[in-house]
Amino acid sequence: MPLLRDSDPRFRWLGWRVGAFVLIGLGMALALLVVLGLRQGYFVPKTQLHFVAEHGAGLTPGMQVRLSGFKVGVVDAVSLNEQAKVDVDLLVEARYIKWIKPDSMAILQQDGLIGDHYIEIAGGSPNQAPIKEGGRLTFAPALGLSEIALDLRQRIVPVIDSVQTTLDIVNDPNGDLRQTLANVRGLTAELRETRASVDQLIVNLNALSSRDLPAVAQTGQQALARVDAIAAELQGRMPTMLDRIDGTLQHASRAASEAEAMMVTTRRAVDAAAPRLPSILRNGDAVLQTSRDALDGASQSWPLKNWLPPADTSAPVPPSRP
Amino acid sequence: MIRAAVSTLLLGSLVILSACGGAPTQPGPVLAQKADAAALAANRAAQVGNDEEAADLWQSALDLRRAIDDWTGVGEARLGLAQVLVRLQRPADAARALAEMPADGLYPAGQRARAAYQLAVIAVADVPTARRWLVQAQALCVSPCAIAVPLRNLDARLALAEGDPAAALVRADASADASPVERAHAERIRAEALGALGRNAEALSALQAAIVLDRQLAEPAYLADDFSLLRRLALAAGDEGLSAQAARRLDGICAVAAVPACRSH
Repeated sequence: MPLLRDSDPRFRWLGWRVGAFVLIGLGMALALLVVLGLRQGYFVPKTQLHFVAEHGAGLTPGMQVRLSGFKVGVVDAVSLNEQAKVDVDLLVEARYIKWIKPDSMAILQQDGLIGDHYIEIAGGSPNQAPIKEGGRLTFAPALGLSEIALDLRQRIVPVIDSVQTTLDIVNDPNGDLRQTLANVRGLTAELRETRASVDQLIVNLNALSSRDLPAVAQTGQQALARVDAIAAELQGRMPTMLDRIDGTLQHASRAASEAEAMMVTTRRAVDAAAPRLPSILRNGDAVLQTSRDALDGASQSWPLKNWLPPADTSAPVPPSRP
Repeated sequence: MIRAAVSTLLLGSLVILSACGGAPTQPGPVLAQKADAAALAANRAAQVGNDEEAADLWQSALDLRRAIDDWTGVGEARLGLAQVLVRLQRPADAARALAEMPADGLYPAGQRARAAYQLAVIAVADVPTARRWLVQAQALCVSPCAIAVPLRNLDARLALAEGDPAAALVRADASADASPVERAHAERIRAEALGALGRNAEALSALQAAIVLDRQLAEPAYLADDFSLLRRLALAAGDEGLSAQAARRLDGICAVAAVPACRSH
């Protein structure tokens, strides 16, 4: 005898009830999928953009594309092209495309010190029209500290060499500048001597008698002739000296210009790196602190504490032997 | 039978797991944690011979302890800082770090005694000053004195410097419960005192014991000091071979280490 009868009222409409339950379950699953899809942006119209990178490090399909820190799309595909460069396709939600211009840049960034990579879209002239479907962006890989240091080094070393060359030229005892200065010094000394002679001549004029006048006049003439000779020599040498000084000054000026350009580059590089430094230092400090705590904890546990030399917060007693 | 064994095993495992799985220790205040970490790191740096870093860390610990009015911690930091400053050849700075401690009642008596003892070690070349600090350290070190052996050995060393080898021989403490460095020091003092008393054979025996210990300590300054004394004792005993051997060993150390015994060599 069956335990339950088919005519039991609880089995009435059983097929319909099961069907309704399955349908409601399927409907809820579908609704959940739709909601999740909406949240993930699957049903949002998207615009495809493109850029080419020299290197594929850090670039993976599915990574986020951000604009002003907000997620606006994803990386759709990353592939190697015929020129051994990396083609990257982005899918950006159409509603955000108005802020992306043809001259905007795609920059590879990273969340914190060890976070995920993402593409940040930045820049772009506000007065330009938005980028079109399939438009191409310029890619700028984010410079790490080592790359910044290398870049700085490559720029600074030639400038230092140039400055060194200039200083060598200036300091060379047989060089143009030092020789020119020595010549000028010699001529100045000779002029002083001549001036002293002329002064002496004028002082002695009062004491001259008519007998001495011819001799004095002859001496004066000789002195003037000497002055003339020196002046002629100066006139002959001055253009060459000035040319040489001019050349040296031009060299120095070039070096100064290069140094100034180097400073501008340095400043730009520092400006680029500076915002990241505090977070890097903070993260580094936190990582060090955590590591130290973990090591301290581990070193006080069995069996490590038996293997490591004891260390506590008390100062040890120094030996009595100096 | 098997059931009982399994039950015991399970119970034992449970006890062990409970012991291992205790709640994590509650972290203390931030500044106290930082001060502890700095002192710990300073000790580690000093252990591996990184004295510059150890000095910086002790200074950080000192500042942090002062900020939280922890006088015991301040005392430890001063003692540690002075020790590494001495190793950095900055005895005047070390003495300055300790100068106020022996007379300052805010520090525990044990620390005041240690400070006076360290000041005596720093001033060991100036025997009257070192003696004054040592007397103060002995007065402050209440029983049981944690630094009794170093105090006795320093006393013996000063007695030697004061020209009293008999007293030095009596005071030097090479007892078995002393640390190796203090035992080696005591043997070295005994050797010099015995040499001064004309008992060269006993002096050489004591010095050999000191050299064995100092080899284990692997401290060039101590070994050079030992070989310098060995050469003098061997010459006094008329043992040319031993004297030449000591001179060779001393030359070997002095070729690579700038230690005080080499300057007078």
